[in-house]
Amino acid sequence: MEPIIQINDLEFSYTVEEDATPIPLFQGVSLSIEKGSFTAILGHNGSGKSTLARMLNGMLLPDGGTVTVNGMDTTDQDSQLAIRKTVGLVFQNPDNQIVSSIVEEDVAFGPENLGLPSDEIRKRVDHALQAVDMLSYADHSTNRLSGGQKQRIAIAGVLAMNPSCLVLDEPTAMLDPKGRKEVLDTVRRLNREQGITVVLITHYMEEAALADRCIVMEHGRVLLDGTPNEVFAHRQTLEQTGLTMPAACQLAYELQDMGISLEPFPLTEADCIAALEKTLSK
Amino acid sequence: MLNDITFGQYYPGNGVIHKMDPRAKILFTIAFIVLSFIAGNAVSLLLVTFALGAVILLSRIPLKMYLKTLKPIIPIIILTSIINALYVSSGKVLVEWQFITITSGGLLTAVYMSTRIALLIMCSSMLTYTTTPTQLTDAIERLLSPLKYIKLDVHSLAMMMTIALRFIPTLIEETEKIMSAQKARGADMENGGLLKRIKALIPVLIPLLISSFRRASELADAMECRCYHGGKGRTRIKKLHMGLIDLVSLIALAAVFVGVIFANACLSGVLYSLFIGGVL
Repeated sequence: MEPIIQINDLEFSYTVEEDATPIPLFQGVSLSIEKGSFTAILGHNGSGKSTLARMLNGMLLPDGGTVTVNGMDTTDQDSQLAIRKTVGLVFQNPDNQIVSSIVEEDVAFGPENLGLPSDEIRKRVDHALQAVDMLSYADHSTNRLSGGQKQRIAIAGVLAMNPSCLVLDEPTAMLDPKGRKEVLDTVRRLNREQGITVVLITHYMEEAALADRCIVMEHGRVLLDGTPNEVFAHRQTLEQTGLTMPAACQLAYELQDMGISLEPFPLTEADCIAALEKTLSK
Repeated sequence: MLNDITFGQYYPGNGVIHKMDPRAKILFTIAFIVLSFIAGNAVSLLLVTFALGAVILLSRIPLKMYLKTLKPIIPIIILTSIINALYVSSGKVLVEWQFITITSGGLLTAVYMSTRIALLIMCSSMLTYTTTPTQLTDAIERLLSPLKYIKLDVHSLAMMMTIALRFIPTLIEETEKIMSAQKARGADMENGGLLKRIKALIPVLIPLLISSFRRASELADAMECRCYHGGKGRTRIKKLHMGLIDLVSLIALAAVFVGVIFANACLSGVLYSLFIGGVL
């Protein structure tokens, strides 16, 4: 598989206030995100996961090392628009990323900035709204929508630019359980059906379980990297980072302590039920 | 309390008025307001009222929605009515008591003025009900575009308006949340004199201001992520073009205009209309 985003020896420090000495965050991080993959980046507050998200489309630029998107260096001013068109970034608070009061006009904002002709914009807007299942809300007011719907509109706004990669920075942190499910289902469908590369940044391990690959970060370092099954097997390391285990994993671990091991190791509730039934029927 | 603000909101619909060119709608609204102030007697004012009534019917928005916008300005209407009734003295004297003199002319002026203010509000809410904020700012951007030649950044101005309109409901919601939070901590917002109540607003306004700055910075990031780089090379999903509806409404508006001038002239004498003509 070919990588869409390639990070080499990334270095970055941030300053809390002016004239203060910069605090180093990343000291030589290397990662590559493969085309069409679904990667979850897990980490607690201050782990650097949101900063990493902003590195992926050139909103923040590295102090050292390189970030390349489809071979384009993010520090290259001339490819800035092309990079942002390729890697769409969705933020945590849906209220603060919607520009217009009308759904379809907001979704049109991105393609309008790209200078596309009107009928092409119309096509893309309808397509994007369809993809997030919000087409029937096209002429609705954006402020009357639920949190989950607003976040799906924000995703549609990015999709309308036809990105090949979607980076979502804690998109469900401000939503209720119903909204979370709506957003996650949408993201998963976009990955499966349209082949869009997804990088989901989250601190919920349940959400990371949906991905093909799971990266755990702490203090700007990659702590664990692998399939959710591989990563979730590192029980002690995960517990040290303070991330909360999904209930299914918790149960499986506690059963393990008692000498009962569930096969295969469950990450979701449904898997857990299946594994329990299998063990009990033995 | 704050949710009562209906002015400046879009009411989705598919009527003829919704389909008009927003530029035409803005110009016609201004013309209509001017017209209601030119209308100098009962007949011409009735004509203007009927014209607006017809447009309200065409807009397919319930009359209730228009009446709702009048509610907050009732005090203004009452105040101007009282001032007009007391200060205009013409015609027959109806009441004379100490320093108060109310004349028939004063009462008439009060009624005319109230009608005009009501027409003004309903007419402008028609504009905002039938035009999306983006269309509105788009139209303003186009109408003001000649100002580009005097180095005025019309695009940024229009973008600021779009964002302001978009954030009004969000900030109202936030204000209510902060007010409840402060009330829960014992803040008293309803009692005391004017000064005390204004002071009580400070603990609401400061958090609101801080959060607005945070919102602004996040929005700027989100806009940049969506390739925003100013007005240069930007296209729009909806192209503006004047059509048949706009032409027909122009003719209708011209007819009302002629009607008003005619009614003014016939009823108040040629001299009066000449005076009005002179003012214009």
